[in-house]
Amino acid sequence: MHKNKSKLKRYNIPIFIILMLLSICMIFPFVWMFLSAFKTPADVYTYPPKWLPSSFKFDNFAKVFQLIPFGKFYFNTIVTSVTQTFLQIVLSITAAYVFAKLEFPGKKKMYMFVQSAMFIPAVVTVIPLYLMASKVRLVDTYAGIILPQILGVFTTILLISFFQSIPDDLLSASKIDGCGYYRILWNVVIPNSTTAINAAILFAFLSHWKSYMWPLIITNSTHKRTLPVGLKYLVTESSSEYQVMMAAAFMSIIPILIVYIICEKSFTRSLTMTGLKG
Amino acid sequence: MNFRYSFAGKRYETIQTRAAYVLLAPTIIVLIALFIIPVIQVIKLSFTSLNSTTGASRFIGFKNYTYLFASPRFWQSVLNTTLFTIVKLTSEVLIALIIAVMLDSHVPFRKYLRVSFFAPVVVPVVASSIIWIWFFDPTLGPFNQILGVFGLPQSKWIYGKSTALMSIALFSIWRGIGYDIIVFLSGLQGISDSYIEAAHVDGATNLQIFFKIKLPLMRPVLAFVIMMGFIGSFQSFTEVDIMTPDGGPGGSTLLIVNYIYQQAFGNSKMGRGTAASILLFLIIFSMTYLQRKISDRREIRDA
Amino acid sequence: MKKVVLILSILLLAGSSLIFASGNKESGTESEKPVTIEVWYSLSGKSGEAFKQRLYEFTADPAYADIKVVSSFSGNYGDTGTKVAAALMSGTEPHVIIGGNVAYTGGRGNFYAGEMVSSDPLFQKDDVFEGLWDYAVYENKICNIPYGISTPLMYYNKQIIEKAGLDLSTPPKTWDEFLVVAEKAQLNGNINNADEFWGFVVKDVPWLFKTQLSQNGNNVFEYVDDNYTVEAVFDDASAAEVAQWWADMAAAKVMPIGEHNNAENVFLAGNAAFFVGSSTKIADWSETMGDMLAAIPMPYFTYPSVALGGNTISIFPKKDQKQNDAAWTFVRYITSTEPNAKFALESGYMPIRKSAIELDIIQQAFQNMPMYKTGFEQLAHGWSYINTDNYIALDGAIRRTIEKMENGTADAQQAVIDAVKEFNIEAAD
Repeated sequence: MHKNKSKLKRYNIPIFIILMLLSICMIFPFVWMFLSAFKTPADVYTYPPKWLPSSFKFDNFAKVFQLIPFGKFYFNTIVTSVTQTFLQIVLSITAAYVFAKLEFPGKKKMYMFVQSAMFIPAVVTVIPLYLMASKVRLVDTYAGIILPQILGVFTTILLISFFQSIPDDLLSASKIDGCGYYRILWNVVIPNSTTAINAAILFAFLSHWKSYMWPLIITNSTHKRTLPVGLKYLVTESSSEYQVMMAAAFMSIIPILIVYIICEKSFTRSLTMTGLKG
Repeated sequence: MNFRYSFAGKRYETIQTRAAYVLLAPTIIVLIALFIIPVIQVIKLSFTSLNSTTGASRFIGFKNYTYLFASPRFWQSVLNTTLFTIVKLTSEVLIALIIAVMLDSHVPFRKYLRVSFFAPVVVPVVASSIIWIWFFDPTLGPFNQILGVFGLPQSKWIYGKSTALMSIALFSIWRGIGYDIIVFLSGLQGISDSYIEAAHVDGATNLQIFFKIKLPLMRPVLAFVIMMGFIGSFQSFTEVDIMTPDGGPGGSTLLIVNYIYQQAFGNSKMGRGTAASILLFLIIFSMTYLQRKISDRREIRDA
Repeated sequence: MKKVVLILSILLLAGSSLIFASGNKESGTESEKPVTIEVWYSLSGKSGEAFKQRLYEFTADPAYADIKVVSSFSGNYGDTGTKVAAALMSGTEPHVIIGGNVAYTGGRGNFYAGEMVSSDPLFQKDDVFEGLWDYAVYENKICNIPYGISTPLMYYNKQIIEKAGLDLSTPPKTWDEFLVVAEKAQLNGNINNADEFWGFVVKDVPWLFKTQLSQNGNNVFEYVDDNYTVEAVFDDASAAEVAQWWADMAAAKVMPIGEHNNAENVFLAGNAAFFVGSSTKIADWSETMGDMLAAIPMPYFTYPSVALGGNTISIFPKKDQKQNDAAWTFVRYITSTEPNAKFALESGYMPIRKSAIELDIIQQAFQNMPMYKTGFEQLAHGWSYINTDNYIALDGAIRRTIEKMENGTADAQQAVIDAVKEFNIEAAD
């Protein structure tokens, strides 16, 4: 993938300048958010708008904690998205292994069946899923948030294409060593595709972390809300006071940004794989 | 794929078949519980008048569908969604492609640039929507102020009937373009240098190389990004729900999914909501089917 | 791979330590076995703070040590409605909702709150302003309890009015007079030299429209038979006259056309002279606007009248009578004279009890905050329309009618006839 073709060439400065300008546009919202999280109401509601806060006080952050249990939202989001990711990946790995490496009657039909779920928009199933969840008393519970979101057809398809690239000889060899099909999955397939699984994990985690509609519908009480849902309620709860909203946005954005910057390579690889193999 | 032949003479090995079923069972069970049963229920519900406020429900035949077909608001949401998707998808793919090509050239701080383009993708949409609500404030927001400094006409952004949908699309492009850029960039970097060097030797210009060599090789990646982008933007919900929860001025930002949510949960008309969601499914399904057909035919023709 | 797993587990650990920290706190305060009741409230901003303060006082009061209240903010009225409807279907509704619509109680045959109000002498039903009950009935039977009742106020920005050289000591009485004043304010009052400056802005268009209908003798809905069948009646000449006013305002360019959602920020930034909104803005904007905020009584058409706004309390009885008793004790506490008066003052809502007027804090507020007094005096001609299950459809139909009128694309009479037609289609099964 990596090319060192142009080490000798000089930097392409005009293009660099264009890219820098574009990248400033991309991060401008974050800069604005950072500056505005410290503004006072008087700073915000003046015309024309002021860009810099009159002082760097943490009043707005305190206000957020006073209005909403922010830590609890974080906890809920982490618990649900990590669990969802785990379950989704387990399902994806087993299914992908079966479709990539095993033969059995009805395989094609089964594959079509699994694949077809990808074309059903989430909103179609939301209403009946809510009704079902309410029948089994899962409304406003962690299980209610988690369970309906654990099927990842996309990650399954992604993993299938990777498992297929594992040479069959490797599998046959372990078979001769006396491994069953379950052991082969555990001992050969998974260790040989950590990159792909890693990519799938990140992809799944990111989508669960950002998930909004289902948690919005299924949660009722404050202490079950996830971060995105809690933020939505904060908009009205703070009666749309921009500076308070910025402080909350700041606190919910910065940690994931830091995680992203640390794992930038994995993220990029993950997204690249989904793009090229999906 | 020829794993089976290495074991036994039989076409299917019993142990292997059993293992396959056992490993597949959880997925199938989840699939039935989360997709098959709900889809059957959706179809059933769409013929009832289920009202979540009163709890009353009775069979009303095709009344929900006839209501939708006659409802200007529903058609408005379909139109809005189509327009939104076209604008978002074409500009996002085009700009992403250009940026990816530029990033593929020899520039310093490449990692920083990549991070800055991709950062909006990892952030929860709700959080970034909150920031952009302020941007779009015609009075208190920085956008109009910046336009004013350059002497450009000011906009009403999400508060004006003619600009609201495009403002939401602008936000949507900002938050999604990083994904396209990264995918395109890796596609470009995956193209073997030998092709390009050979073309250089033949005296081709960079532009020619891009259109004659790189772009055709990128076609599968492009097709994938467009298909995913299409499915994604047709199901957009969050940004509108946060920025213009009532559907914007004159319903100008009302997207189909927001319409479904409003009908089913806001207006308590579960029957109408489910009927609308079935129509949405038909739209998405037929469009993806069409796209597949077209790209399949291309591949056959090209081959 | 390792890095990712590591970071995910760190996140998980950090999260769990947070929860354990907060969990310990909760279990520490539990002494005996209190009855737990769940309360949802749709009070935001200063109202939310005022309510939470009452909640705190209730919890701190040793007399109520055996009741534990778990509260959740449930969003604005729309969000709350969404949540309640969904919760009712799944049987997960809370014991008490503040901000509930009567459709979710009376509409489902739940008149528990009404029965309690009449049967418990401690509640002193006669002490509540009579007119407020209209806001809490379904089919003429009490099903909710008025709590955060507001009236719409015609606010203005003092600085703008001064700059425009206007004297509002004798405020405009009718809407036509108001239009003239708003035009003058717009002409001479642009304090920021803003590119766009308005005489008048309003966010909650349906609320103002309904207020105006009532001022013109139109009741929005009427019962047409003894079975409480409701018919929409806002399609007559009195409604057309109101609709025409909006067209006139738009034609005079006193008001932005078709752009109402950002009215609050336009007004807060000092780019509009007048603003119609809830009396709760008195509290919410005390910091942002300071002394610049003032109000005049609502102008009218034929006679003064305002549509009551705000919220009522719904009670959802459960099987466990202990919980119901606890819920009722809590509701009775927050609606009693002093807690309710304090809540009203801090939030900008109106006190619901006659006995509150005698309290010193209320008397002081009337003296110190003329706006608050204006809002309160409007209660005397407060009006509510018949509550139906389809209040969202009603507001939608009104919004689209006003939009047509502002764009000057419709004849007023035809527009209101279309509005009723649209409402009927939306409200049908």
